[in-house]
Amino acid sequence: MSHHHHAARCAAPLLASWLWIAGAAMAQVSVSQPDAELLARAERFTVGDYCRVARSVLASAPIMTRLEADSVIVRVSSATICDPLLSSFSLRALFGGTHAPLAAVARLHPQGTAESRTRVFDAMSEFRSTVQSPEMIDTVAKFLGADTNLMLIRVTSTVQSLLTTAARDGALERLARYERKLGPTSARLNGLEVLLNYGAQRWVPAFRAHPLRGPSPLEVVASYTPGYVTSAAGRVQPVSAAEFGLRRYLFGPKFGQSGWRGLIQPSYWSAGVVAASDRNGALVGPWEGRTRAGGFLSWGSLKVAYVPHRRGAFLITRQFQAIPFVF
Amino acid sequence: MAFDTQKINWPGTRAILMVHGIGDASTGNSGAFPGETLRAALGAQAATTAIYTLNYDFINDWMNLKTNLQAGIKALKGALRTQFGDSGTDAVIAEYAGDVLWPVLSADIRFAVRDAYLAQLQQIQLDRERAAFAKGDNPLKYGITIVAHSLGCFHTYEVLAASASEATHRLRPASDRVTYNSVVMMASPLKLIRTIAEKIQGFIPDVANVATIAAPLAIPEEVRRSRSQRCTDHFISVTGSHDPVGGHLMGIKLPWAYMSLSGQESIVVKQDGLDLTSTQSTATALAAAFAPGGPAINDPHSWTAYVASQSVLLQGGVVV
Repeated sequence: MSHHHHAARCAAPLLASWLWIAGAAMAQVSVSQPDAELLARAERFTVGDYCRVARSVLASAPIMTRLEADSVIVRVSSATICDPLLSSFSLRALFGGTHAPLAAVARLHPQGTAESRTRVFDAMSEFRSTVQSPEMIDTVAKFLGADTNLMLIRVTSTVQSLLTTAARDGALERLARYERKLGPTSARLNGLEVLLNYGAQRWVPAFRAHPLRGPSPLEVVASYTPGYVTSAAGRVQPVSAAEFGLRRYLFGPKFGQSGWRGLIQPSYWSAGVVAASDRNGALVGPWEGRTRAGGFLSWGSLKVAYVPHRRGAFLITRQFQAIPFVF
Repeated sequence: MAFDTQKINWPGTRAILMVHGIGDASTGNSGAFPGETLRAALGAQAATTAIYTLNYDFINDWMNLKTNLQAGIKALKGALRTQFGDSGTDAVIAEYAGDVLWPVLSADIRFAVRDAYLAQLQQIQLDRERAAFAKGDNPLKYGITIVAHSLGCFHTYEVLAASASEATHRLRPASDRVTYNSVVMMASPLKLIRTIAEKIQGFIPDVANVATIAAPLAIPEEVRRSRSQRCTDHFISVTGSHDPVGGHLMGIKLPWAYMSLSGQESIVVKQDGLDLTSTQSTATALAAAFAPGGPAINDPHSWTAYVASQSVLLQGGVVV
């Protein structure tokens, strides 16, 4: 039961945000589009409609008898659904998609609104799963009468579809995060990074993907970067460096752009320590000559480093792999 | 490009979701799905059946770009050969186990595929409800069948297990009344994956969230108010007598690789006519199944051949 309530609490804000977004988009989409059609229906049906079909079930002696012990579930859930303070809410308003009727809002204590909604939302799920079970579905259809049964099907399935839509959009949102971290605008990994990130995901919880929250935003950086340049002795010179640090993916909807927009709203940023030889030159090993250490910071593919005590302390580069999966 | 779910206006009261495995499964035709073969198998029912397809190659493509996935699979096969030895039937199976085992080793891939799959199942529920609403029917009277092949069976099992246990997905068999007419697993490597994964369990990230390994294999179900409700009344295994991925080699069933769940309905398609009389000929025929261009005519793992052999089953008939 607590698991169920927890899920309901998690789903309610998701539903609210989905309905808000979908509602904002409605003016631009045709009602023939699936989600818009559902929203229009959810606007039309009220909690009072749901209450009326629930009372019809309660009033049917054959149905209540056939329900046996489950009749208690139907009685309790119906009592919750038939909250007079919520009866004028549309199903869409119940989940926070539109403004609730002013009269109802005035009667409700502001802090109680979300809880009332969640409670009703739980009760509707309980009611539907009980009266639409494989054992009950035909009995209910037989004794409720065609019109009332059709209303019951329409109202209960509309609520279920609202919940399913929110769940679907939650799954798609998680998938979009995986694409941000693994897809074309993400940073490519070299062999060492593949192993280190695999190990981090296996043994460090902060790096682990979660089935309901999606991927961890963190990634280990451990690379040899031959593409830095610096300015020394009045000319631009190449520098190679080793980097160790962390990359953090930006999962916000504005980020993850490609092309020039990716410079402003990239998929990730990273920071860490950088080690470079005091000698400049392409493919110079960081451990050749005297090794100098500093720090690096990247915003997307643009990366700058500061390594004091060498000729050309400021380094700049763009994230790329000269040899795929190597460096 | 961002993934979006496939949306269909149902022409009738039934839908089939085809879940892809690996490689190109369409023998003799272009395209990754044996769609034409399925329509032929359905006969007149094809016109009134909504046919969905789910392919997660785009997620594999992400990993190919980001990491050297193919090198990883090659290394995995090498490790498995060491584990199983280099000769005998087990070694042949180990060669193909690498192709189906890698998602177990990456939680990112596993969960990404799971989310794509969940979103598609949720969309099918929405399409079903919309179709029934328009006709004044009860959506719960409209049927959905899942037909998965090869690695698609693993992802199907993982998704059905997650659906049955996690309220957030709104796909629970009892609480959300989401059940399937039948779930048909064609050439399922589920047991093969489980057996091998048990040997390398220490290397698998987040084992608790891999249903194939975390608990004994069983038809996914939800227990609600002390009553269990399975995700389907017809969990059907279809495999070939010569298909190593499905747990058979040269007509012999290999218990450690053959999926056998309590309550499962089992069909073993006779493949004597494929002329696969040695491990070498089996390996040669199978090699094409995992390569671009599709399986060979005598490939024992061909999805096309499995679909063609099961028209009665796919028409909603009894398992024979």
